[in-house]
Amino acid sequence: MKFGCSLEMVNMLTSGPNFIYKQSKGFWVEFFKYVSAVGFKGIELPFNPYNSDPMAFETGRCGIPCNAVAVRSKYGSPEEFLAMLKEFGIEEVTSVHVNANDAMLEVVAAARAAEDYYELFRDMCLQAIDHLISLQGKGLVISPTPEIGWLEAMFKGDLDQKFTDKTVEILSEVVEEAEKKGIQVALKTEYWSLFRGNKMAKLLERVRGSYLCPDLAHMQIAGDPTTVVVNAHKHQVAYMRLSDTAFQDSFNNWKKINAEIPVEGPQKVFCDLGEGTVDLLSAVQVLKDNNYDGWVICEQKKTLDVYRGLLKLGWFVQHKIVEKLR
Amino acid sequence: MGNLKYSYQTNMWGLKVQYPQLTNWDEWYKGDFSNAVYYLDWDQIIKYHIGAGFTGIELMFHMEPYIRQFFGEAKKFTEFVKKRGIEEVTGTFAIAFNSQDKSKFNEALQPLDAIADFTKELGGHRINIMPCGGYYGLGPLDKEQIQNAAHFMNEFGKRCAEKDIIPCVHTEFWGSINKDELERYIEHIDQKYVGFCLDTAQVSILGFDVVKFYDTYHDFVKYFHLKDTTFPNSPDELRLCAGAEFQDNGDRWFWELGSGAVDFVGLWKLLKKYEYKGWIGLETDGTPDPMATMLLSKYYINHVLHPIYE
Repeated sequence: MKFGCSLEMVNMLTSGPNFIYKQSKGFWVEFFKYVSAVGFKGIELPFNPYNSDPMAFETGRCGIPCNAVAVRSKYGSPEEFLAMLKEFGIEEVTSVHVNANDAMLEVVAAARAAEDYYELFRDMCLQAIDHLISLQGKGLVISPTPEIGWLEAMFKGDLDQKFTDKTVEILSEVVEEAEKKGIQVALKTEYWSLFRGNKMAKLLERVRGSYLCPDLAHMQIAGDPTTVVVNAHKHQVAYMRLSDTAFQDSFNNWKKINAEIPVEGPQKVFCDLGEGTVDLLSAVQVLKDNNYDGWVICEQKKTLDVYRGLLKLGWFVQHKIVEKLR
Repeated sequence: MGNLKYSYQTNMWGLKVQYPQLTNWDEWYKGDFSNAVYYLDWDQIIKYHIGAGFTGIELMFHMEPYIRQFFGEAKKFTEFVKKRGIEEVTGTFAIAFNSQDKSKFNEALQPLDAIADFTKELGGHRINIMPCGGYYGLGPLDKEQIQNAAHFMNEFGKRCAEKDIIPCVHTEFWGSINKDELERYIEHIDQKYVGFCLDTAQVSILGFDVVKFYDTYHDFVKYFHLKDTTFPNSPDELRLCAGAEFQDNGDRWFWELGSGAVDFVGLWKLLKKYEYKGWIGLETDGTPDPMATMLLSKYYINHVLHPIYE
């Protein structure tokens, strides 16, 4: 079992001093060195190919390596990007993460028909496979639906029928395409997903060949017993996301647009690893007991200081996970 | 009362200000004990503007969906900021993508009409607008494309006039209306419906003398983005490459007033000469510390520029 670092811990969609520096190649080049310095040899990258959504337009044309264009225009080529990572001590791009919510934001931003979402999502996943191959990665992590809030606003129909069937169809095609190219597709849990709770198990059954990416913080917020679920799916877990939270969704944010930015009640949804209430060690122990030999991806989601957050992450993983495993 | 009132573009705080208002400061501060909590919500950010003496604000086009999602309607955002002392949301910023392509005229207008509606709902009267897409991948534009882009802006200006809004052309050093295109573009602009937002740093980076530029175009200039730069007359290879706005080494293009090469004193003498009155905007995107930059800029205005004209 190996521990990688999700670079989505650098939250670009927030306010704070020096946020623009994080859009420069210079920031990322330095940050990759720090990721290596705290002991991570693998990284997971976000993937977003869009530019109608204004946020994606802003983040997609700078030094954030979040799509093929950014890698080519700012780092020369995928090969040069990988060579740079290797020089810094990062051996592998383990995976890239595709979030279906980004496809929905593109639909909204471009004032397209809701039905266009399906094709955009499908195309985004297929593009991500090519991007992943160019970076020699093996894992495509997919957040399988937009936020329920967006689905309710845009589709207004029976989400459990047509939308679900169509999603299964797209994901099945993506898995088939990925398998041909030696890529594992892992479906990630989110508390705001249509497939929250036990619906994810049904989705996994329907999308043959897919794996489960349990995002532990999301699962806990949704009310799922994390260790029990990981144990139940231990043979199909891939790229498990170590994330932490102490958040209780008492205002039903899971139903709302921007579910991760609550307006009422408690607002801090995620916290640094070890500062929440998720039983992270037990979930990892389940994988170890099952001789899992893949990557576990660690994320300080929305940490307020990415440098300190990274140091804390490195310490936590080594001292509170790796050294405590039986 | 002076002749000048000051507004500030809010893009220096973040791509998105996540929260309208924090419900429990300690949720973020306790245990963290850093200054991060000071930057997370509109409630506090607006108060910084007022505290520093900036009674207007501007919004970026990419903030629109979030304003609508979190405040319900744009006018509720305006009510929110007015309650905290803002006099006016002076305007927004947009980009006229595809304006050079006649065949995409209607398609290109659609998002801008939406921004115009948004601006009107906010109570704003100007849209600072990049006249075409970025240079990389699009430029150099030919004569016809420049004419098309100007024609597009004129038509958009007419539509805006119905909403009591004026689009103010805002050139970017990385835009396809660049150093060699700008004056030819202006020749085709109908100044009855379209104005110019003189971004002092952008124009300086392009290679123009800001003071001479204003002297020439003072009737056309309806608004300003004051900011300084240490890269005046920047070479093509820096301005026209992919993602030029984000320098690979992390260096910043824009600085607080008085920290770079822009001759603000010369500009202020002309503001006095031409009796400019009304809102003046500042925009200092790229600063590592928006609060410090805002205060330093206001200090410069109060102590260096106001003795000339206020």
